[in-house]
Amino acid sequence: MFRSTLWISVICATGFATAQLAAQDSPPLSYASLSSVTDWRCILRHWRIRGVGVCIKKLKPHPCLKVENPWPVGVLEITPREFSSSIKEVDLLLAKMRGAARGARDRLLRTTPDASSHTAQSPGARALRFAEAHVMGFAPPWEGATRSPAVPVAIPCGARGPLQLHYASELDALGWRSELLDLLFAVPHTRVVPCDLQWPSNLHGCAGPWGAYYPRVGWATHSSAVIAAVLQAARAGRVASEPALGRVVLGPYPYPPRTGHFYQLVHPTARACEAIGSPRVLKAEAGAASPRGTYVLVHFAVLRQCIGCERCGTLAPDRRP
Amino acid sequence: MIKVRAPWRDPAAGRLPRLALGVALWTVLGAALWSQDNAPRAPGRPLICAHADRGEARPLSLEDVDRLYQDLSQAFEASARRALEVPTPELLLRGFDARLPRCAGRPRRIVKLVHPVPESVVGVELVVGELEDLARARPNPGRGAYLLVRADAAQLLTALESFDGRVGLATPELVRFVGIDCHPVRVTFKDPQHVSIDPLD
Repeated sequence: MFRSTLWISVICATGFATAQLAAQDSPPLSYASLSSVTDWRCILRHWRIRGVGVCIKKLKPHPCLKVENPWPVGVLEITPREFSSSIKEVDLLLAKMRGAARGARDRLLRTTPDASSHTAQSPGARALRFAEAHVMGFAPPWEGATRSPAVPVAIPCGARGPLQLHYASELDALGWRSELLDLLFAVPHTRVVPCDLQWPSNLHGCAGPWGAYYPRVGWATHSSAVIAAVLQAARAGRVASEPALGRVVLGPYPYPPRTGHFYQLVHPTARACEAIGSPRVLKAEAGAASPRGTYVLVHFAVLRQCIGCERCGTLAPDRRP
Repeated sequence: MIKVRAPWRDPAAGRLPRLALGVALWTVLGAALWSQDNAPRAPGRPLICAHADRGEARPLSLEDVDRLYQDLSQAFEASARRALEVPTPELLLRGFDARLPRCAGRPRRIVKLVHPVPESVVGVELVVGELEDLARARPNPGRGAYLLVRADAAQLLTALESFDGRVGLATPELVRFVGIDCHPVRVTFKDPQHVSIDPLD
Protein backbone atom coordinates (compact mmCIF):
# COMPACT_ATOMS: atom_id res chain seq x y z
CA MET A 1 0.00 0.00 0.00
CA PHE A 2 2.75 2.40 1.05
CA ARG A 3 4.81 1.41 -1.98
CA SER A 4 1.95 2.01 -4.43
CA THR A 5 1.23 5.42 -2.84
CA LEU A 6 4.90 6.28 -3.18
CA TRP A 7 4.89 5.28 -6.85
CA ILE A 8 1.77 7.34 -7.54
CA SER A 9 3.37 10.32 -5.78
CA VAL A 10 6.55 9.95 -7.82
CA ILE A 11 4.62 9.66 -11.07
CA CYS A 12 2.46 12.68 -10.21
CA ALA A 13 5.48 14.74 -9.19
CA THR A 14 7.34 13.79 -12.37
CA GLY A 15 4.31 14.61 -14.49
CA PHE A 16 3.86 17.94 -12.74
CA ALA A 17 7.53 18.83 -13.15
CA THR A 18 7.44 17.85 -16.84
CA ALA A 19 4.32 19.93 -17.38
CA GLN A 20 5.98 22.86 -15.61
CA LEU A 21 9.08 22.56 -17.77
CA ALA A 22 6.98 22.27 -20.91
CA ALA A 23 4.98 25.33 -19.87
CA GLN A 24 8.20 27.23 -19.28
CA ASP A 25 9.69 26.24 -22.64
CA SER A 26 6.62 26.75 -24.77
CA PRO A 27 6.14 30.30 -26.06
CA PRO A 28 3.57 32.09 -23.90
CA LEU A 29 2.15 34.19 -26.74
CA SER A 30 0.84 33.63 -30.23
CA TYR A 31 0.10 36.14 -32.97
CA ALA A 32 -3.63 35.66 -32.41
CA SER A 33 -3.35 36.12 -28.65
CA LEU A 34 -1.68 39.51 -29.11
CA SER A 35 -5.08 40.92 -30.01
CA SER A 36 -6.45 40.30 -26.54
CA VAL A 37 -3.51 41.91 -24.76
CA THR A 38 -2.93 44.88 -27.05
CA ASP A 39 -3.96 48.19 -25.52
CA TRP A 40 -6.28 49.36 -28.30
CA ARG A 41 -7.36 52.28 -26.14
CA CYS A 42 -3.92 53.79 -26.67
CA ILE A 43 -5.06 54.92 -30.12
CA LEU A 44 -7.75 57.31 -28.93
CA ARG A 45 -6.17 58.09 -25.58
CA HIS A 46 -3.42 59.94 -27.43
CA TRP A 47 -5.49 60.98 -30.44
CA ARG A 48 -5.58 64.66 -31.18
CA ILE A 49 -6.60 67.16 -33.82
CA ARG A 50 -3.71 69.18 -35.21
CA GLY A 51 -5.72 71.53 -37.37
CA VAL A 52 -7.43 71.83 -40.70
CA GLY A 53 -5.75 71.51 -44.07
CA VAL A 54 -6.72 71.96 -47.68
CA CYS A 55 -5.80 69.91 -50.70
CA ILE A 56 -6.67 70.24 -54.37
CA LYS A 57 -8.56 67.37 -55.96
CA LYS A 58 -9.73 67.65 -59.57
CA LEU A 59 -8.92 71.38 -59.50
CA LYS A 60 -11.23 71.92 -56.52
CA PRO A 61 -10.12 72.73 -52.99
CA HIS A 62 -11.06 70.12 -50.39
CA PRO A 63 -10.83 70.67 -46.65
CA CYS A 64 -9.31 67.93 -44.49
CA LEU A 65 -8.91 67.30 -40.78
CA LYS A 66 -5.34 66.87 -39.59
CA VAL A 67 -5.18 64.23 -36.87
CA GLU A 68 -2.43 62.43 -35.02
CA ASN A 69 -2.65 59.18 -33.10
CA PRO A 70 -0.60 56.12 -32.14
CA TRP A 71 -1.12 52.94 -34.14
CA PRO A 72 0.24 49.46 -33.40
CA VAL A 73 2.81 48.69 -36.11
CA GLY A 74 5.06 46.00 -34.71
CA VAL A 75 6.21 43.76 -31.93
CA LEU A 76 9.63 44.14 -30.36
CA GLU A 77 11.14 41.37 -28.28
CA ILE A 78 14.09 41.23 -25.94
CA THR A 79 15.29 37.85 -24.75
CA PRO A 80 18.49 36.42 -23.31
CA ARG A 81 17.96 33.15 -25.24
CA GLU A 82 19.45 32.83 -28.72
CA PHE A 83 17.14 31.84 -31.59
CA SER A 84 14.03 31.60 -29.46
CA SER A 85 10.96 33.76 -29.21
CA SER A 86 8.00 34.19 -26.88
CA ILE A 87 5.69 34.31 -29.90
CA LYS A 88 4.85 30.87 -31.18
CA GLU A 89 4.91 31.63 -34.91
CA VAL A 90 8.23 33.46 -34.71
CA ASP A 91 9.70 30.75 -32.51
CA LEU A 92 8.93 28.20 -35.25
CA LEU A 93 10.91 30.26 -37.77
CA LEU A 94 13.79 30.86 -35.36
CA ALA A 95 13.83 27.15 -34.53
CA LYS A 96 14.88 26.41 -38.12
CA MET A 97 17.80 28.82 -37.76
CA ARG A 98 18.56 27.36 -34.34
CA GLY A 99 18.84 23.91 -35.91
CA ALA A 100 21.14 25.16 -38.66
CA ALA A 101 23.30 27.06 -36.16
CA ARG A 102 23.62 23.99 -33.94
CA GLY A 103 24.59 21.92 -36.97
CA ALA A 104 27.28 24.45 -37.85
CA ARG A 105 28.47 24.50 -34.24
CA ASP A 106 28.68 20.70 -34.12
CA ARG A 107 30.66 20.60 -37.37
CA LEU A 108 32.97 23.28 -36.00
CA LEU A 109 33.48 21.45 -32.69
CA ARG A 110 34.42 18.29 -34.58
CA THR A 111 37.14 20.15 -36.50
CA THR A 112 38.31 22.59 -33.81
CA PRO A 113 37.63 21.30 -30.29
CA ASP A 114 38.36 24.67 -28.65
CA ALA A 115 35.76 26.53 -30.72
CA SER A 116 32.88 27.97 -28.78
CA SER A 117 29.57 29.61 -29.47
CA HIS A 118 29.77 33.27 -30.40
CA THR A 119 29.99 35.37 -27.33
CA ALA A 120 29.09 38.94 -26.62
CA GLN A 121 32.03 41.32 -26.70
CA SER A 122 31.46 43.51 -23.71
CA PRO A 123 32.61 47.09 -24.16
CA GLY A 124 34.01 47.14 -20.66
CA ALA A 125 32.46 48.12 -17.38
CA ARG A 126 29.63 50.07 -19.01
CA ALA A 127 27.98 46.83 -20.05
CA LEU A 128 25.28 46.02 -17.58
CA ARG A 129 22.66 44.18 -19.57
CA PHE A 130 22.76 42.27 -22.81
CA ALA A 131 19.96 40.55 -24.66
CA GLU A 132 19.05 39.38 -28.12
CA ALA A 133 16.37 41.34 -29.95
CA HIS A 134 13.71 40.52 -32.51
CA VAL A 135 11.71 43.03 -34.50
CA MET A 136 8.44 41.90 -36.04
CA GLY A 137 6.25 44.13 -38.10
CA PHE A 138 2.52 44.04 -38.54
CA ALA A 139 -0.11 46.51 -39.48
CA PRO A 140 -3.51 45.01 -38.80
CA PRO A 141 -5.80 45.88 -41.69
CA TRP A 142 -8.67 47.93 -40.40
CA GLU A 143 -11.56 47.87 -42.82
CA GLY A 144 -13.65 49.97 -40.45
CA ALA A 145 -11.42 52.95 -41.22
CA THR A 146 -13.06 53.28 -44.62
CA ARG A 147 -16.37 51.57 -43.85
CA SER A 148 -17.47 53.61 -40.84
CA PRO A 149 -15.45 56.79 -40.51
CA ALA A 150 -17.13 57.70 -37.23
CA VAL A 151 -13.78 58.37 -35.60
CA PRO A 152 -11.24 59.90 -37.95
CA VAL A 153 -7.94 58.18 -37.13
CA ALA A 154 -4.62 58.04 -38.94
CA ILE A 155 -3.82 54.56 -40.26
CA PRO A 156 -0.55 53.18 -41.65
CA CYS A 157 0.11 52.92 -45.37
CA GLY A 158 0.25 49.52 -47.02
CA ALA A 159 -1.32 47.50 -44.24
CA ARG A 160 0.18 44.04 -44.21
CA GLY A 161 -1.64 41.27 -42.46
CA PRO A 162 0.79 38.58 -41.40
CA LEU A 163 3.49 39.03 -38.83
CA GLN A 164 6.88 39.46 -40.50
CA LEU A 165 10.31 39.04 -38.95
CA HIS A 166 12.42 42.07 -39.85
CA TYR A 167 15.38 41.67 -37.54
CA ALA A 168 16.98 38.94 -35.46
CA SER A 169 20.04 40.15 -33.60
CA GLU A 170 21.52 36.64 -33.60
CA LEU A 171 22.25 37.12 -37.31
CA ASP A 172 23.62 40.62 -36.74
CA ALA A 173 26.14 39.50 -34.14
CA LEU A 174 28.89 41.91 -35.21
CA GLY A 175 26.67 44.98 -35.07
CA TRP A 176 24.59 43.99 -32.05
CA ARG A 177 27.44 42.74 -29.88
CA SER A 178 30.11 45.34 -30.57
CA GLU A 179 29.99 49.07 -31.20
CA LEU A 180 32.35 48.75 -34.14
CA LEU A 181 29.94 49.23 -37.05
CA ASP A 182 28.01 52.11 -35.51
CA LEU A 183 31.26 53.77 -34.46
CA LEU A 184 32.77 53.33 -37.91
CA PHE A 185 29.89 54.64 -39.88
CA ALA A 186 28.08 56.95 -37.46
CA VAL A 187 27.86 60.13 -39.49
CA PRO A 188 27.74 62.61 -37.89
CA HIS A 189 29.75 61.29 -34.98
CA THR A 190 27.75 63.36 -32.50
CA ARG A 191 25.24 60.52 -32.61
CA VAL A 192 27.41 58.57 -30.20
CA VAL A 193 27.96 61.37 -27.70
CA PRO A 194 26.43 60.38 -24.31
CA CYS A 195 22.88 61.54 -23.80
CA ASP A 196 23.50 63.11 -20.41
CA LEU A 197 25.32 65.82 -22.38
CA GLN A 198 22.72 66.08 -25.15
CA TRP A 199 19.27 65.57 -23.67
CA PRO A 200 16.85 67.33 -24.05
CA SER A 201 18.20 69.08 -27.17
CA ASN A 202 18.81 65.80 -29.02
CA LEU A 203 15.38 64.23 -29.35
CA HIS A 204 16.49 61.96 -32.19
CA GLY A 205 19.54 60.45 -30.52
CA CYS A 206 18.30 60.16 -26.96
CA ALA A 207 15.35 58.16 -25.64
CA GLY A 208 14.49 60.86 -23.16
CA PRO A 209 16.35 60.42 -19.89
CA TRP A 210 16.69 56.65 -20.47
CA GLY A 211 19.87 56.84 -22.54
CA ALA A 212 21.16 56.87 -26.10
CA TYR A 213 19.84 54.99 -29.12
CA TYR A 214 23.37 55.04 -30.61
CA PRO A 215 25.44 52.96 -30.83
CA ARG A 216 22.66 50.50 -31.58
CA VAL A 217 23.98 47.56 -29.60
CA GLY A 218 22.47 44.97 -27.28
CA TRP A 219 24.20 46.44 -24.25
CA ALA A 220 22.24 48.88 -22.15
CA THR A 221 23.23 50.73 -19.05
CA HIS A 222 20.24 51.37 -16.85
CA SER A 223 19.33 50.61 -13.27
CA SER A 224 15.90 49.34 -14.33
CA ALA A 225 15.76 46.03 -16.20
CA VAL A 226 12.42 46.99 -17.75
CA ILE A 227 13.60 50.35 -19.09
CA ALA A 228 16.86 48.78 -20.29
CA ALA A 229 14.81 46.22 -22.22
CA VAL A 230 12.62 48.90 -23.82
CA LEU A 231 15.71 50.89 -24.78
CA GLN A 232 17.31 47.79 -26.31
CA ALA A 233 14.08 47.07 -28.19
CA ALA A 234 13.96 50.63 -29.51
CA ARG A 235 17.56 50.31 -30.70
CA ALA A 236 16.74 47.06 -32.47
CA GLY A 237 13.78 48.75 -34.14
CA ARG A 238 16.10 51.49 -35.34
CA VAL A 239 18.61 48.98 -36.71
CA ALA A 240 15.82 47.32 -38.64
CA SER A 241 14.63 50.64 -40.03
CA GLU A 242 18.12 52.00 -40.82
CA PRO A 243 19.87 48.85 -41.97
CA ALA A 244 22.71 50.38 -43.97
CA LEU A 245 26.41 49.90 -43.34
CA GLY A 246 26.97 46.28 -42.54
CA ARG A 247 24.01 45.45 -40.31
CA VAL A 248 22.27 42.16 -41.12
CA VAL A 249 18.58 42.95 -41.44
CA LEU A 250 16.01 40.52 -42.81
CA GLY A 251 13.69 43.20 -44.15
CA PRO A 252 13.36 46.93 -43.58
CA TYR A 253 11.03 47.90 -40.74
CA PRO A 254 9.31 51.10 -41.86
CA TYR A 255 8.62 52.54 -38.42
CA PRO A 256 11.76 53.48 -36.45
CA PRO A 257 10.86 53.78 -32.74
CA ARG A 258 11.05 57.47 -31.93
CA THR A 259 11.19 59.44 -28.73
CA GLY A 260 7.68 60.31 -27.58
CA HIS A 261 6.07 57.52 -29.60
CA PHE A 262 4.58 54.65 -27.63
CA TYR A 263 5.25 51.10 -26.49
CA GLN A 264 3.14 48.67 -24.55
CA LEU A 265 4.52 45.86 -22.46
CA VAL A 266 2.57 42.64 -23.17
CA HIS A 267 4.93 40.09 -21.63
CA PRO A 268 5.69 39.18 -18.84
CA THR A 269 2.72 41.31 -17.85
CA ALA A 270 0.28 43.34 -19.92
CA ARG A 271 0.35 47.06 -19.24
CA ALA A 272 -1.12 50.22 -20.76
CA CYS A 273 0.91 52.01 -23.40
CA GLU A 274 3.60 54.46 -22.33
CA ALA A 275 5.70 57.01 -24.18
CA ILE A 276 9.23 56.02 -25.22
CA GLY A 277 11.58 58.06 -23.05
CA SER A 278 8.92 58.86 -20.48
CA PRO A 279 10.39 60.13 -17.23
CA ARG A 280 7.80 58.09 -15.30
CA VAL A 281 10.19 55.18 -14.88
CA LEU A 282 8.84 53.92 -11.57
CA LYS A 283 5.33 53.55 -12.95
CA ALA A 284 6.57 51.68 -16.00
CA GLU A 285 8.77 49.21 -14.18
CA ALA A 286 6.79 48.51 -11.01
CA GLY A 287 5.95 44.82 -10.96
CA ALA A 288 6.92 44.37 -14.61
CA ALA A 289 10.40 42.84 -14.26
CA SER A 290 10.74 39.47 -15.99
CA PRO A 291 12.48 36.75 -13.99
CA ARG A 292 13.75 35.24 -17.26
CA GLY A 293 14.73 38.55 -18.81
CA THR A 294 12.27 38.21 -21.68
CA TYR A 295 10.14 41.20 -22.64
CA VAL A 296 7.63 41.56 -25.46
CA LEU A 297 6.40 45.01 -26.45
CA VAL A 298 3.85 46.25 -28.93
CA HIS A 299 5.24 49.26 -30.74
CA PHE A 300 2.77 52.09 -31.39
CA ALA A 301 4.07 54.55 -33.97
CA VAL A 302 2.53 58.01 -33.93
CA LEU A 303 1.01 58.70 -37.34
CA ARG A 304 -0.20 61.95 -38.85
CA GLN A 305 -2.85 62.12 -41.52
CA CYS A 306 -5.08 64.72 -43.06
CA ILE A 307 -8.42 62.89 -43.14
CA GLY A 308 -10.24 63.67 -46.34
CA CYS A 309 -7.12 64.32 -48.41
CA GLU A 310 -4.60 61.59 -47.54
CA ARG A 311 -5.29 57.88 -47.73
CA CYS A 312 -2.91 56.94 -44.93
CA GLY A 313 -0.70 58.49 -42.30
CA THR A 314 2.97 59.37 -42.17
CA LEU A 315 5.30 58.86 -39.24
CA ALA A 316 5.43 61.79 -36.81
CA PRO A 317 8.89 63.09 -35.82
CA ASP A 318 10.54 62.60 -32.42
CA ARG A 319 8.92 64.68 -29.72
CA ARG A 320 9.17 65.24 -26.02
CA PRO A 321 7.59 62.36 -24.12
CA MET B 1 -31.66 126.53 -14.78
CA ILE B 2 -31.86 122.85 -15.33
CA LYS B 3 -32.07 121.66 -18.86
CA VAL B 4 -34.08 118.55 -19.46
CA ARG B 5 -33.76 116.81 -22.81
CA ALA B 6 -36.42 114.56 -24.07
CA PRO B 7 -34.94 111.08 -24.59
CA TRP B 8 -36.52 110.67 -28.00
CA ARG B 9 -34.61 113.82 -29.05
CA ASP B 10 -31.25 112.47 -27.81
CA PRO B 11 -29.21 111.03 -30.73
CA ALA B 12 -27.73 108.36 -28.39
CA ALA B 13 -31.18 107.27 -27.38
CA GLY B 14 -31.87 106.37 -30.99
CA ARG B 15 -29.82 103.22 -30.41
CA LEU B 16 -32.12 101.98 -27.69
CA PRO B 17 -34.68 100.22 -29.86
CA ARG B 18 -31.91 98.50 -31.85
CA LEU B 19 -30.22 97.39 -28.63
CA ALA B 20 -33.49 96.04 -27.30
CA LEU B 21 -34.07 94.18 -30.55
CA GLY B 22 -30.56 92.66 -30.37
CA VAL B 23 -31.07 91.50 -26.77
CA ALA B 24 -34.39 89.95 -27.70
CA LEU B 25 -32.87 88.10 -30.69
CA TRP B 26 -29.98 86.74 -28.65
CA THR B 27 -32.43 85.59 -25.96
CA VAL B 28 -34.51 83.74 -28.53
CA LEU B 29 -31.40 82.18 -30.12
CA GLY B 30 -30.02 81.13 -26.73
CA ALA B 31 -33.34 79.60 -25.76
CA ALA B 32 -33.48 77.70 -29.05
CA LEU B 33 -29.97 76.30 -28.60
CA TRP B 34 -30.71 75.42 -24.96
CA SER B 35 -33.85 73.58 -25.92
CA GLN B 36 -31.90 71.73 -28.70
CA ASP B 37 -29.22 70.64 -26.24
CA ASN B 38 -31.85 69.37 -23.80
CA ALA B 39 -33.94 67.62 -26.40
CA PRO B 40 -34.49 63.89 -25.76
CA ARG B 41 -31.69 61.82 -27.43
CA ALA B 42 -31.83 58.45 -29.06
CA PRO B 43 -31.47 55.79 -26.37
CA GLY B 44 -28.01 54.24 -26.01
CA ARG B 45 -26.26 57.03 -27.91
CA PRO B 46 -24.91 59.57 -25.41
CA LEU B 47 -23.56 62.64 -27.15
CA ILE B 48 -20.03 63.60 -26.30
CA CYS B 49 -19.62 66.51 -28.62
CA ALA B 50 -21.88 68.09 -31.21
CA HIS B 51 -21.04 71.61 -32.23
CA ALA B 52 -23.35 72.04 -35.17
CA ASP B 53 -22.56 75.66 -35.81
CA ARG B 54 -20.81 75.87 -39.15
CA GLY B 55 -19.34 73.49 -41.66
CA GLU B 56 -19.54 69.74 -41.54
CA ALA B 57 -20.11 68.40 -38.03
CA ARG B 58 -20.45 64.86 -36.85
CA PRO B 59 -21.58 63.70 -33.43
CA LEU B 60 -19.13 61.39 -31.70
CA SER B 61 -20.55 58.89 -29.27
CA LEU B 62 -19.10 56.36 -26.87
CA GLU B 63 -20.77 53.74 -29.03
CA ASP B 64 -18.63 54.83 -32.00
CA VAL B 65 -15.50 54.59 -29.88
CA ASP B 66 -16.45 51.11 -28.69
CA ARG B 67 -17.14 50.07 -32.28
CA LEU B 68 -13.70 51.32 -33.30
CA TYR B 69 -12.01 49.12 -30.71
CA GLN B 70 -14.14 46.12 -31.67
CA ASP B 71 -13.38 46.62 -35.38
CA LEU B 72 -9.67 46.82 -34.65
CA SER B 73 -9.64 43.76 -32.46
CA GLN B 74 -11.69 41.71 -34.93
CA ALA B 75 -9.59 42.79 -37.91
CA PHE B 76 -6.47 41.84 -36.00
CA GLU B 77 -7.83 38.41 -35.08
CA ALA B 78 -8.96 37.75 -38.65
CA SER B 79 -5.50 38.70 -39.90
CA ALA B 80 -3.86 36.48 -37.29
CA ARG B 81 -6.03 33.51 -38.27
CA ARG B 82 -4.88 33.88 -41.89
CA ALA B 83 -1.22 34.03 -40.85
CA LEU B 84 -0.53 30.48 -39.79
CA GLU B 85 3.21 30.96 -39.95
CA VAL B 86 5.69 33.78 -40.29
CA PRO B 87 7.03 33.95 -43.84
CA THR B 88 10.72 33.15 -44.22
CA PRO B 89 12.55 36.42 -44.95
CA GLU B 90 14.00 36.99 -48.44
CA LEU B 91 17.56 37.20 -47.13
CA LEU B 92 17.35 33.65 -45.80
CA LEU B 93 15.62 32.33 -48.91
CA ARG B 94 17.82 33.92 -51.56
CA GLY B 95 20.97 34.68 -49.60
CA PHE B 96 23.20 37.72 -49.93
CA ASP B 97 25.46 38.75 -52.80
CA ALA B 98 27.44 42.00 -52.86
CA ARG B 99 28.34 41.36 -56.56
CA LEU B 100 32.01 42.20 -56.07
CA PRO B 101 34.51 40.65 -58.52
CA ARG B 102 37.67 38.79 -57.46
CA CYS B 103 40.73 41.04 -57.15
CA ALA B 104 42.93 38.94 -59.47
CA GLY B 105 46.33 40.33 -58.57
CA ARG B 106 45.39 43.93 -57.87
CA PRO B 107 48.03 45.85 -55.89
CA ARG B 108 47.67 47.42 -52.45
CA ARG B 109 45.79 50.71 -52.40
CA ILE B 110 45.43 53.61 -49.97
CA VAL B 111 41.97 55.15 -50.11
CA LYS B 112 40.89 58.50 -48.68
CA LEU B 113 37.54 58.25 -46.86
CA VAL B 114 34.77 60.66 -47.76
CA HIS B 115 33.73 60.87 -44.09
CA PRO B 116 36.50 60.60 -41.46
CA VAL B 117 36.09 57.93 -38.78
CA PRO B 118 36.64 58.42 -35.02
CA GLU B 119 40.17 58.04 -33.61
CA SER B 120 39.07 54.95 -31.68
CA VAL B 121 38.59 53.11 -34.96
CA VAL B 122 42.20 53.57 -36.14
CA GLY B 123 43.87 50.14 -36.28
CA VAL B 124 40.66 48.19 -36.91
CA GLU B 125 40.90 45.52 -39.63
CA LEU B 126 38.09 44.24 -41.80
CA VAL B 127 38.53 41.07 -43.83
CA VAL B 128 36.16 41.12 -46.79
CA GLY B 129 35.53 37.98 -48.82
CA GLU B 130 33.67 34.72 -49.17
CA LEU B 131 33.45 32.17 -46.36
CA GLU B 132 36.44 30.17 -47.65
CA ASP B 133 38.56 33.33 -47.93
CA LEU B 134 37.70 34.44 -44.43
CA ALA B 135 38.81 31.11 -43.00
CA ARG B 136 42.32 31.77 -44.37
CA ALA B 137 42.63 35.30 -43.01
CA ARG B 138 43.12 36.19 -39.39
CA PRO B 139 42.23 39.80 -38.57
CA ASN B 140 43.58 41.63 -35.56
CA PRO B 141 42.02 39.75 -32.61
CA GLY B 142 39.57 41.95 -30.75
CA ARG B 143 39.94 44.78 -33.28
CA GLY B 144 38.87 43.07 -36.44
CA ALA B 145 35.81 41.73 -38.17
CA TYR B 146 34.80 39.63 -41.16
CA LEU B 147 32.47 40.84 -43.87
CA LEU B 148 30.90 38.33 -46.21
CA VAL B 149 30.44 39.27 -49.85
CA ARG B 150 28.31 36.24 -50.66
CA ALA B 151 26.41 33.86 -48.38
CA ASP B 152 23.25 31.83 -48.14
CA ALA B 153 21.51 31.28 -44.81
CA ALA B 154 23.58 28.22 -43.92
CA GLN B 155 26.87 29.94 -44.78
CA LEU B 156 25.92 33.01 -42.74
CA LEU B 157 25.08 30.87 -39.70
CA THR B 158 28.26 28.84 -40.15
CA ALA B 159 30.31 32.03 -40.35
CA LEU B 160 28.65 33.41 -37.22
CA GLU B 161 29.54 30.25 -35.33
CA SER B 162 33.02 29.92 -36.82
CA PHE B 163 34.18 33.48 -36.28
CA ASP B 164 32.81 34.06 -32.82
CA GLY B 165 30.03 36.32 -34.04
CA ARG B 166 32.40 38.86 -35.59
CA VAL B 167 30.70 38.59 -38.97
CA GLY B 168 28.73 41.12 -40.95
CA LEU B 169 27.67 41.60 -44.54
CA ALA B 170 29.54 43.71 -47.07
CA THR B 171 26.46 45.77 -47.90
CA PRO B 172 26.62 48.15 -50.89
CA GLU B 173 26.66 51.21 -48.60
CA LEU B 174 29.56 49.81 -46.59
CA VAL B 175 31.51 48.85 -49.71
CA ARG B 176 31.06 52.38 -51.12
CA PHE B 177 31.95 53.99 -47.78
CA VAL B 178 35.29 52.19 -47.53
CA GLY B 179 36.05 52.18 -51.25
CA ILE B 180 36.25 48.42 -51.80
CA ASP B 181 35.91 47.32 -55.44
CA CYS B 182 36.99 43.67 -55.31
CA HIS B 183 37.44 40.75 -52.91
CA PRO B 184 39.04 39.15 -50.94
CA VAL B 185 40.76 42.08 -49.24
CA ARG B 186 42.00 43.17 -45.85
CA VAL B 187 40.98 46.73 -44.99
CA THR B 188 42.96 48.54 -42.30
CA PHE B 189 42.03 51.95 -40.90
CA LYS B 190 45.41 53.69 -40.94
CA ASP B 191 44.18 57.05 -39.65
CA PRO B 192 40.77 58.77 -39.38
CA GLN B 193 40.84 59.64 -43.08
CA HIS B 194 42.70 56.79 -44.80
CA VAL B 195 42.36 53.04 -45.19
CA SER B 196 44.72 50.59 -46.82
CA ILE B 197 43.16 47.86 -48.94
CA ASP B 198 45.37 44.77 -49.34
CA PRO B 199 44.19 41.99 -51.65
CA LEU B 200 44.37 38.55 -50.04
CA ASP B 201 44.77 36.62 -53.31
